[in-house]
Amino acid sequence: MSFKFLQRPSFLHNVSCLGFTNCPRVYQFMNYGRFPPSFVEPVYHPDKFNKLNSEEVKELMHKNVKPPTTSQSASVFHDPHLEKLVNFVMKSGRKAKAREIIKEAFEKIKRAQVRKYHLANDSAKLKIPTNPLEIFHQALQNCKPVLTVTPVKRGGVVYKVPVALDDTKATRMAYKWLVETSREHEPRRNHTGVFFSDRLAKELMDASDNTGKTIKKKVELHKLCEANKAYAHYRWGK
Amino acid sequence: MALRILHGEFLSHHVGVMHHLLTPERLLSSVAARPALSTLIDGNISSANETSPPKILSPFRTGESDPQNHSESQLGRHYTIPEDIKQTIFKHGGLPKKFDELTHVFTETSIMVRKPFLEIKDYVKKIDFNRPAVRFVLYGETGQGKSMTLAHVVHYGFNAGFLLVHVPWVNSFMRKSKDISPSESKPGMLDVPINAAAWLVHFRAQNQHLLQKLDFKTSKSYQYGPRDTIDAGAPIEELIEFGVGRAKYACDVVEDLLREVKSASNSGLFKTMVVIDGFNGLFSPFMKTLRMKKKVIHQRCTLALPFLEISRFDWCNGVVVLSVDKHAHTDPFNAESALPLYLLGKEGWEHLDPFIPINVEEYNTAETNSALDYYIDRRWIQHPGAQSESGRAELRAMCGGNGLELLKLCAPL
Repeated sequence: MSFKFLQRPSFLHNVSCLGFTNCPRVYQFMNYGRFPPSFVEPVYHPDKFNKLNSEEVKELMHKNVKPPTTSQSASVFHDPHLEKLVNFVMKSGRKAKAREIIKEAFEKIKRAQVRKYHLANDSAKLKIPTNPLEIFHQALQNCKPVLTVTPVKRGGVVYKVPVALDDTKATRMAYKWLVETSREHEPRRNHTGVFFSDRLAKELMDASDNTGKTIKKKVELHKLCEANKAYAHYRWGK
Repeated sequence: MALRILHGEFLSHHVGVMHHLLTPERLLSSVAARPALSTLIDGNISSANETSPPKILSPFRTGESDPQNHSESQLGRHYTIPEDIKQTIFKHGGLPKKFDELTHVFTETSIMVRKPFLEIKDYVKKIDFNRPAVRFVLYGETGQGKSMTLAHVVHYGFNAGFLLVHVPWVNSFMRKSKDISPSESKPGMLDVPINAAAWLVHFRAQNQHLLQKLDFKTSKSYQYGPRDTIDAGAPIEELIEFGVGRAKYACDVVEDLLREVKSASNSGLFKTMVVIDGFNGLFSPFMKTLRMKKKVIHQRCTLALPFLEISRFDWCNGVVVLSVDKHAHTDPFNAESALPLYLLGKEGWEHLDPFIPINVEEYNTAETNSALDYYIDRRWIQHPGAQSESGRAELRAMCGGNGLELLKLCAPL
């Protein structure tokens, strides 16, 4: 894959030295903080671009556009949710490695499920989910919490007050939990040959089936909210 | 009149378009044309199953499971190796690891019929077996199908009644030998007893049906230890059995066994097919062992000698199919070329010369499409994007016709 190539610091250095005052409108791999608010987000995927109407295109033509990031690809197989997961799995900026690990996990899901599929008889085949991407999306959907608790101080006591979550925050928590639970492992001295990718694969499979550690976490949070619903009105007022 | 001309033009234009649409490359990639094509091209299926209802096969498959009958019409199509034959010939190795894992997932073993195999098959059919053994050398970049072609050749040899002398991967004993011990019969050299015994088991499994049928007996008596003797005229299974049981002498047994095979072939008892994958590994200067971390010069490995011996051309009724591989090279990550002259080196070249080089090329468009169709059928590719023409074009471009690369690309899809 060419991603490794693109992440070479020397290559990055050359590009960032170009400066953006005299450049054409599209820059590569620059620090996003440099762009003033007049710059708009890029429409990087052909599918999205084809959906734009002519007026929107006209408007975009006269605007400065930020360059696409390394995670924004025009590939047919590009999936923004998956790219987000890559960011959660990534440690110390090693994006290529994180991507590799997630691909491994998907492959492991597929190996297990496809073999089951081929061994099953025709009627049972329909019930076996085999598409790892679908399994991942389902797992993400199932892991999203509806409520969470926030600390509110009243009369010197800190109460856990249940609050509703918006979709962005809920999705963020789902990603975080999925990766967190997959990182839990036995002490290294008892290494059983089960790697992060194995645990992630298992966690995704479980979560898509509404079982497993991540779902348990979500249920426990919901229970906590239920227990503290008496304090819900502390959310407002003083 | 004008109308007629126009009509004629339209017709000819129409025919032209149809002709364009019906090129095999297009047909293989078009989803709608699949059932029509299967009946169109694969005539021999319907003839084979006249009594049973005609089975509609997809155009990327062929019903012909015997490599002896493979021909140009099956190019780029997948044939399935029957499970019992797979268990006989590939039980102890012979299929590349990545592919072997896939067969487990797909619950079938299907290989694409490709040009290098047909080339070898045609040559083997035309060979005059009274002449010295002909050597074929497969070469090509990593992942383009050398080992798969060899697996196909092994299946062909098995079905055509050849005695198989098959080494799945030379470096399994030249680089990663399980165990080494000093040789007793050849002072100053080293044995790889476990690997030699394992190879004997492989040989026995592949040729059991022939050994039972043939009157293949030892030509002279062999003395290994003070109480370990094999008499002259004993069945050859006894020699193999002894080698498997007494791993200490397995290397010597392999050498004697292959000498017997050579002389029996010379006398016309049977025809022999020698298939060695990663042959240039025999000429690499080091033999590293896993446990002792020692580097040993290759002339001192006794198991290399019989395979060098049998790849000579001083015998007849035999055919030798070898492959040279970058991975089997001394320095696999820095191998500069995949060509035989570079990989074999001076010594290897002089050993093999003259041979017939066979290039294993990358997939052409039709073959890539066939592989994609097969993967979609077996659910190795499930991404809806891969069903569309743009997705397929992306995969085709990304893999660059390399089968292994395509397999890896499709792994997370």
